[in-house]
Amino acid sequence: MSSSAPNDAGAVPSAGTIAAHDGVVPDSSSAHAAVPEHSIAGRLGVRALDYAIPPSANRLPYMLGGLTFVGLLALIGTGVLLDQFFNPEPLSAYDSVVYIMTRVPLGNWVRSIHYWAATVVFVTLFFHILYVFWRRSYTRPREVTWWLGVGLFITVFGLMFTGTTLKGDQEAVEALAHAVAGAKMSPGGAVLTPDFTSSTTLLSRLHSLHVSVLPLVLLALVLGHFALIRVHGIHSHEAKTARFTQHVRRLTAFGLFLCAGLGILAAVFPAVLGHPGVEGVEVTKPAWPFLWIYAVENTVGMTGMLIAPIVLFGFLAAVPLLDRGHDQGAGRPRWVMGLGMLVLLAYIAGIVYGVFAPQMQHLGM
Amino acid sequence: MSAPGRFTQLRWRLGVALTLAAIGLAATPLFAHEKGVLTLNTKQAAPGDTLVARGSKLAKGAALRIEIRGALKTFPFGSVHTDAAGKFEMRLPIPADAKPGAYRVVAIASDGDVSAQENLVLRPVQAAAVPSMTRMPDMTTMHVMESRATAAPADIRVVTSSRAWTVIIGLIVFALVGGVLLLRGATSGSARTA
Ligand code: HEM
Ligand code: HEM
Repeated sequence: MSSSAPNDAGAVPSAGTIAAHDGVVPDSSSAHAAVPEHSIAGRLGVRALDYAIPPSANRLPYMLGGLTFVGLLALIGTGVLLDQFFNPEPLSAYDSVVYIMTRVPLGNWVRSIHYWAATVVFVTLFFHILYVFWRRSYTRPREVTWWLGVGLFITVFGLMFTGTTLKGDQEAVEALAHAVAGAKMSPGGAVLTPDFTSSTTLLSRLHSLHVSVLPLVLLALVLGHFALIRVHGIHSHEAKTARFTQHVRRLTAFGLFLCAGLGILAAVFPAVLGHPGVEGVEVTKPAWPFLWIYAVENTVGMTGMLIAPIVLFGFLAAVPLLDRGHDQGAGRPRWVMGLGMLVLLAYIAGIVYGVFAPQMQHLGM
Repeated sequence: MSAPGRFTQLRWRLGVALTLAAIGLAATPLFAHEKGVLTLNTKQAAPGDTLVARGSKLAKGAALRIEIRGALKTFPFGSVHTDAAGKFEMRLPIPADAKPGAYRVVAIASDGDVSAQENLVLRPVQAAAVPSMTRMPDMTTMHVMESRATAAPADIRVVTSSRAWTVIIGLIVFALVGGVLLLRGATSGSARTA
């Protein structure tokens, strides 16, 4: 069996070498003429993006990863703006969020875009994972692309969680208490407890995770993910009759629509803020992307906050090992798909249950 | 060199010159004012306490307004005059209803510029009684004054000015129009390629 699918590794023959009988548009001078060397685009190296790709890459389902990336850029942009006014000193965090909402010009809108972008990223990411799983794009040679994706998924969860702890309202205080409880149960978790050091506060360490450590990890993983997609080419058996520059153009267009959508959502449904947090009580539920964890906590107690992520991320990490066939090979292992569907159902059921379940006290359970 | 080549070079030089000018302009305020020194007898106090603020290295015989500025509230303390050495001392009784949080004590010159400043943390009354520098505040001390916990959203009045709405709508329209133009370009581009 060949080790690579059509249009797989080496998918991007150098300019001018692509055979016309492959159905590939030759890298003609006209293609390069579109980006003249003397133009600003030429100087910026845009010509390097002018390579052949399958036309299906321009369809929306193949753009879900790209749209997730646009959402992350929106989060970083708005996050940097918010951070100019946010104060991670525990006594002042809540007030500084109120300040952002009420005194900073466009502050409430920017904060709401940050909130909605985090929500939308979860939706596009969910469908991105579903689509690449459905197409079995995790099979040889794309296992590492998938694993980097799993790392990205975990990092985005980390960002959503640390972001929630910052705002100092009731939800934030409860999230922080969960972080401490979870850290105490995990080996090496001491760094996320207030007693780790007396020189700074836990909130300020979570803030540094949120605004510097995790975004850096995210960017490193994204670079790796993109580099491997470039090396292996997109998983498709079509002839490469489109150009990547067209893809970037379409993605930018859809990205702008996404940003407009975020702007509208933020203007019409601004992000809310709870009352200043009171310690030692649990009266809120987490944001919906965490409700499946909440559901397991309701069933098995505090350990659920470790068990649920281990099961989901563990399953995702194991997928390329469970289904080791090549995507061209016969005998698509239905049981892996079946298992995937089961995990998906459990995930959705957990979220739905979390929405309707009674509010429960988990700390100390 | 060909005329278009020279034109492109000119554009680059102009771009670099404009960027440098913009950086220069942005950096100007950094050097605009000589700062005095303001010290407090304590950097952590509680509402109801009285602080002693001392200024030095300030303009001689100048009138300064003293304020304690928080994120959401500012407490004015009136004016003080520096002596012939550019120094002053003033007692600042912190209002008992001040909310715990991070504040700045500022000395403001007659032209409105901040001449000197120092950070101040107001602790909740109970927590301030703990004489400890070894344990910085964590969430345990946060808003102890607030009454009971609730999941309901706080009723925070946000006023969006008509100017802000114009910017918001402008940016949304810009994104939509930009997207449509790019899509049209992409479609005609792919038609050409095909
Ligand atoms: C890239 C992924 C990111 C995600 C998923 C994310 C998510 C979140 C979430 C869910 C919140 C709470 C929002 C709310 O309910 O009010 C938040 C708050 C915050 N984030 Fe991020 N964030 C990201 C990146 C960043 C970056 C890069 C920065 C700064 C450089 C940043 C700065 C902040 C600040 C200052 C807050 C607190 C202010 C507030 O709650 O409104 N974020 N983030
Ligand atoms: C921050 C999160 C992520 C970003 C920004 C991102 C971005 C992308 C992009 C732009 C592509 C190429 C086009 C496409 O298929 O959409 C892609 C492909 C891929 N992604 Fe992601 N991704 C993310 C998370 C994930 C996750 C969580 C997984 C899996 C667990 C994953 C697995 C893959 C795989 C296997 C491919 C190759 C698909 C193919 O060749 O057709 N990605 N990703």
